[in-house]
Amino acid sequence: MKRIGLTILVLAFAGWTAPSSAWEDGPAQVRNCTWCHGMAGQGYTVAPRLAGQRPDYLESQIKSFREHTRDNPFSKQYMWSAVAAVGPLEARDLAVYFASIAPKPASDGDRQLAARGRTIYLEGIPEANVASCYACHGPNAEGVRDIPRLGGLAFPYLKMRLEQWSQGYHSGTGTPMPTVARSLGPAEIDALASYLSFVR
Amino acid sequence: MTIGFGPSAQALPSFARQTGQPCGTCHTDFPSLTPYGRRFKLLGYTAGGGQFRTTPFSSSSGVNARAELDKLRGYANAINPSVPDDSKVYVPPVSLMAIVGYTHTQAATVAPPTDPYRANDNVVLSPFSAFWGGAITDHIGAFAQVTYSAPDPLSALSGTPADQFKHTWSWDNADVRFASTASFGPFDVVYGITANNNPTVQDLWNTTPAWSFPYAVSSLAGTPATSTMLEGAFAARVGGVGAYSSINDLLYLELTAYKTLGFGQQNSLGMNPFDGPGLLGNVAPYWRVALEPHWGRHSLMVGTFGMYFDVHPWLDPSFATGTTATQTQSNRFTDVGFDTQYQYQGDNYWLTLRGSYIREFQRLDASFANLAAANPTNLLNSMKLQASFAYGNDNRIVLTGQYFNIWGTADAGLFGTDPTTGMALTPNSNGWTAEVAYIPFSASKSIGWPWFNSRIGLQYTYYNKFNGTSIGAHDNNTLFLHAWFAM
Repeated sequence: MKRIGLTILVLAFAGWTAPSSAWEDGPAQVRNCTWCHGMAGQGYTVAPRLAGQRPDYLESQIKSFREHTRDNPFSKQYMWSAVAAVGPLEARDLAVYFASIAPKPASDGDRQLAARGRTIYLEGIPEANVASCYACHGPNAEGVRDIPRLGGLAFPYLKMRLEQWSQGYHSGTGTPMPTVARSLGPAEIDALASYLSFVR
Repeated sequence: MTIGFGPSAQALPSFARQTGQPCGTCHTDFPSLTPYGRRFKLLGYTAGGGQFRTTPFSSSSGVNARAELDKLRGYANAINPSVPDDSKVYVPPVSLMAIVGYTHTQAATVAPPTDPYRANDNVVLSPFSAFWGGAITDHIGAFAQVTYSAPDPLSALSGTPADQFKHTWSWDNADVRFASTASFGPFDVVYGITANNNPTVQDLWNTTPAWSFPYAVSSLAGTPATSTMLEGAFAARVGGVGAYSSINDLLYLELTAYKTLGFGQQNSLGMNPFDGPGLLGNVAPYWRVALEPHWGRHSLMVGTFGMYFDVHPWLDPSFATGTTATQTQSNRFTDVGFDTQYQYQGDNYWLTLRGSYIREFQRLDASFANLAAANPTNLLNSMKLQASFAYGNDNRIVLTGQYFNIWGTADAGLFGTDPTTGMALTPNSNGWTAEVAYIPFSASKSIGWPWFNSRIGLQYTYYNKFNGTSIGAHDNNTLFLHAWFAM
């Protein structure tokens, strides 16, 4: 018991004095994010990848969570609380930090649907009045400014988000996505999400 | 009859205060963990984000380090370091828990004299616990518990001097962790150190003994007399230090070494030493390997765990001779466990399937030499198969069913003989446990959040076989209605 007590004491002291040398772990605020978004922010279960995401987009979404304008069920359940104490400066810090991490593609979609998904991404579906994604999200789905990087996000996340646009959920103010995506059918969503999951 | 301590059980409002998250983020139904609950534990109970300051110690040094590195990376104009955590109010992460339960057994199982209880149909407050649950520093956190357990009925006291060591207050589960992260090429690693007092209390899955279902049990109903060493025989009687690592959120590895506390130490901490099997002669190693692939809303775990015990039994557990010495010879137990879990997160429900199997190889040199055991070696097996469905974000209803089976070698010395046939009895017990529970607040924040939550459970345990015989096994069937408060 004495040894255990000593070990605890030593660990407590080391932890108290060591944070400045433990950069790999990042500041505590980063750990509050990687807790759910996975090691290095690469995504974990229903929490999407943050690594490599556009910093302006991350910042805008934190703001949307804070203001409760991004209102899908998991956002309500997890993110509204998670960012309630995150101020604008800290949001900027976190956005820049995660944007700087190299993203790893989830590659978890259906490869057989990827070609169809690529066509939709690049050309849209003119007969259904679905615009091409390429126009805003970029040729390699890398995003720009506060338009998110889609390439390499997990298939289940992309599919859920694409479905939610037509279910009345919101992301932020002024986003055209409810209009753009509401005509996508289940097959198109599967194809698009599959393709994007493989994009590096 | 075996009087069991009610298991400790945890879903701590102090964690909610620290993280800002509702209970349902970490618990399907407390204390059962979601993937995020497992990661919170993996990260040493240190993740924050709530309205309260995470630790009493400043984290400004970490922020400064970040600013320095960011300058090197060229982010200088983007970064304006802020230390919001330091401006929050610090509330020590202390929580309380109480379980009040009504117990009805098919036949009265509290033998006379029953004081301070009745022969059946008792309402008992047990356990009542106080916790430290949360971060101590940015990298160190603790889950530590002291517990009041209702006293045994008079009939459970043997009248021997050993009874003087029985207690109602004791230390309970304790797990102090250091955790950090690192990246090595393609490998992202969480690594840490755990110091704890109960093998498997540090584990992340509810398939290993310390946190397995049922999470609340009656303190008065009879339970099977035999279990493997890993299933709590040394809970709060050991101290262990180990290292663990999680690689790429996929592979979990752990190695921990335990030593028993001495007689006086156990007694001082509120444990009756003679209720344990004895003292460990050597360091007891515990190992754990788990592979947990996850995809979308699914997570699967396949793992193995185990421990080796070199147990010197008490020389005189009745204390009639006044000695606290142990036998020079020892019994050796090698426990090898296999477990698996599948978990699916729906929009407003969780489905969890669990299975665990522990095979214990017993070499009973001490007990065989002292004629306490009829065989020099025995085998003991313990299996649990469980399904749980937690429905609803709030007003959550949880249905859980579990089949359990304990079986092993017949041994007249250890288990006695059948009065009818004269054959040696086995340790065999098996049956089912079903529970329906109601949790008012899970995914959102209750009126009292983050200071209060509760769980109402109706549990029924049915025995096909009890302590080697099916005769009278049903007498132990138990209805346990309980209200569980956490604050």
